[in-house]
Amino acid sequence: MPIRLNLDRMLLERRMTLTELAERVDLTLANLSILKTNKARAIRFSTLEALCRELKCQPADLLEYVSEPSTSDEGRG
Amino acid sequence: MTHVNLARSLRLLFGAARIFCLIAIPVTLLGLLLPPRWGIPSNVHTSAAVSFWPNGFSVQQDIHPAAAELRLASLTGAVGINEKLAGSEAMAALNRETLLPSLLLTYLIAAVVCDILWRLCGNVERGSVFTETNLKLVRWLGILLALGTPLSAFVQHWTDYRLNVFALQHLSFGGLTPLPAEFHGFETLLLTFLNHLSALITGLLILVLAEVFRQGLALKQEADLTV
Repeated sequence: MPIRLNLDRMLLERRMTLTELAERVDLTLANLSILKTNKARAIRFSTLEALCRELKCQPADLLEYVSEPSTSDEGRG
Repeated sequence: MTHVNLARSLRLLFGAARIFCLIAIPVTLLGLLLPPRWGIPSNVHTSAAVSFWPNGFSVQQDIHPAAAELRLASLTGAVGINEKLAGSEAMAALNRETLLPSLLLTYLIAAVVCDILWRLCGNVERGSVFTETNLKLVRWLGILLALGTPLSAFVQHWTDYRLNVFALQHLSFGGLTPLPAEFHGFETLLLTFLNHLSALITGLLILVLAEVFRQGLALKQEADLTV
């Protein structure tokens, strides 16, 4: 998935554990792990809002677009 | 108030019905394959419907004086056939040709329908509702109901025809002229489907529900892994 959620980096910067964050944003640890390991296919705005609120950051700090490597040379910039 | 787990209760019911049909199928097959002495019990009897030309019979009406006379098209009676009438060998052969294939088809269709419903209830009980497997099961259920009931009825028509032939070959009816036994394959099949439109419509309704199910599955797949 080209869209990545840099949750582990933000948790490190804020010195917070995944369990603590799960309690604060009212998500299960399982769902937060899905986000952390970039297995999620979609994220609700309400979830993003809760993460930004507790991690005291902007959505751009969490979300990153990483283009996937193309098979042909034409795809590269 | 006691909570009734409907999925589990239905699963038990369909499971029992499935087991009954699965036992009945080999028993029916044995009846087809074993020699008469070891075949189906000799006290099984059936009846053949025989139609006659209405010679010597007429119908009067007092509904309307000016109305035309009613014409009697045919008379139909039922002749009971059992081992005493036919003999054990002939009875066994007749049952193998008529009763047993009809039963076998009915048990086969019932077994498959019960199996599908048993699996569906099991999946629902486990919480797996909108899945590809369930979608395929619902589609097969619709197809079986739409086609299975008319097919069973068609086999029943064939059974009735063979019994009619047997009766006409071995019995004589004093004073009555029997109509010849006829079986018009394609016409009978079409008539059977038309007479079982309710089964066809039920099956098609289930196929429509399967399409609704498919949409539900697509929505669920979209929502899966959405946090």
